[in-house]
Amino acid sequence: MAIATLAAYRTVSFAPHQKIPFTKNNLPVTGGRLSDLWTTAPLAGAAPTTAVVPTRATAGALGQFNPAADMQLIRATLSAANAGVFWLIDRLSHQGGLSGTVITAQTTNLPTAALTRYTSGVGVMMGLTIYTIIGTTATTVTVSYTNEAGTAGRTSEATVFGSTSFREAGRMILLPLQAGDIGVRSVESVTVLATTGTAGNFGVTLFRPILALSVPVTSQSFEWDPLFNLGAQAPDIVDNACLSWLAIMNAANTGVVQGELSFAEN
Amino acid sequence: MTAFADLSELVNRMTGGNSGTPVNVPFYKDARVGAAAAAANVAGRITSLWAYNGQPSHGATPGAVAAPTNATAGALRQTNPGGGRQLWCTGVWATGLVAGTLTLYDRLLHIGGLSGTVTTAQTVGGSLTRYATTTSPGNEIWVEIYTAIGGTGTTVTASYTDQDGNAGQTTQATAIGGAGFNEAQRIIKLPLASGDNGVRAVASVTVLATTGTAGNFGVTVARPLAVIPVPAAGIGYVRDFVAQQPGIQEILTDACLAWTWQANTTTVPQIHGGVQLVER
Repeated sequence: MAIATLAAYRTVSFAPHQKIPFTKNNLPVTGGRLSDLWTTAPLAGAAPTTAVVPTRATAGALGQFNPAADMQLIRATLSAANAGVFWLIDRLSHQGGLSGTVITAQTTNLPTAALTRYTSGVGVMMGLTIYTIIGTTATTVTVSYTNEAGTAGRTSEATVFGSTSFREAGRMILLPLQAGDIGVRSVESVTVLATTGTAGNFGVTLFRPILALSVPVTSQSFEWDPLFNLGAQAPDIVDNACLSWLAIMNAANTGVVQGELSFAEN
Repeated sequence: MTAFADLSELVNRMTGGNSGTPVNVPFYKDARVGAAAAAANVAGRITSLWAYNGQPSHGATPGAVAAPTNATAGALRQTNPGGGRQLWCTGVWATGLVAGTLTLYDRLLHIGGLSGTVTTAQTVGGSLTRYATTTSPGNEIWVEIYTAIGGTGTTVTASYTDQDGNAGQTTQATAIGGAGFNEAQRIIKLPLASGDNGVRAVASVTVLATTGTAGNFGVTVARPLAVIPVPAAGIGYVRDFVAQQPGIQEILTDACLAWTWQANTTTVPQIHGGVQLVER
């Protein structure tokens, strides 16, 4: 069900059905590059091993309750010790245990667990989350995946992997799709072209972006409202969504991040 | 075209009521084209992100003239509205590795395979399928370079049909070839003839003198829709069409939504963002 009127929107906006506060401690990052806050405390998730589907009940998720009917994110407050963008995602499927020194197709803990949300794969993105630092030698990485049409054996475009800014724990390396594709259902293998020099530990993460919140000024709190500054975004939150954060920062650290998300049920 | 009646209707549709079908289409552009790093940007010049790897996937170098759509690889690939409704863009957000300006545009027509060494008129042709006639004011003609052309500076013009249907119009000569005007992915906008504000068709393009290398360039007819500033690395910007000008933007059925980047630095950008769409 939708929110029928502006008056109803005001009502749920000022008295939302759920308010979820959150805090994340500092994570060292590279300015402008994507980082994954999954294992950042507090409310830290564990580095995955086997392929699993995380849910709202998984440690590391924000942990909202499922609604009786539909639920939308209708308001957010966010501040951070450094300026940047925080990307709220539904973490759909993840695994770990891959190596930065193996140059054959890696299938350890793969394929990824089948999607249980956004099952068509449309708009689902795939990234490599680095859990333990890999090597300093730059190379490229590709994956074999199944696209949104269910076609297996697709190959992502090569992207940089290893070396400064592409190796540190917490970094997420997004994987560009093969020509013609718009989404991902699963990843079957990962191939690192040449050794990065250190095995480390990384894994595949499949996710669906939900909403991006920008903190343009250090340590100031910003209020985000669909009708005032979010371009009418009041995204649906599907049952069991594993809400977590990615970050793209202006500085070399996230600093402490704190905020609150408000949800309306209809 | 029917506007949203009021904020109540917008609230209703943006939360899924009345077949509003709201969706945020995420996108990502990597700093690579094919198997290699993309060519360095030139500060202040415009770079096409059509061939940049990413999600949705990159586009191919066009061959014969064609009118790309939302089904063409390289486009944002949004779903067309159903039930006789129209599609509206209520907001766009983006951030990047470096500062610059992102422009969302509807790619109306493109052709590749033109040469930087041919100094006679090279045929473009084709027909627009969107913004084709009375809505053509605002359409632009771009030269888009797919493989680097030569290092010798010269000028380029196009023969086109203007917004009123007058054929045989000629663009003002503008620079092509040489540094800043010859690199792969460079876009060179062609200024229209005096008095014109739109384009219905492009007949041909003429390079005045050889640039020294054939390369591969094409002509793109484009309709800019939204400009999104990225003020610094990791600083996001939401272009909110509910609260900001020019208001909620219609996205035509079959629109081939794509991106250009006006660089603030030579560093090749990596860009993340999303486009918020709702049906009415």
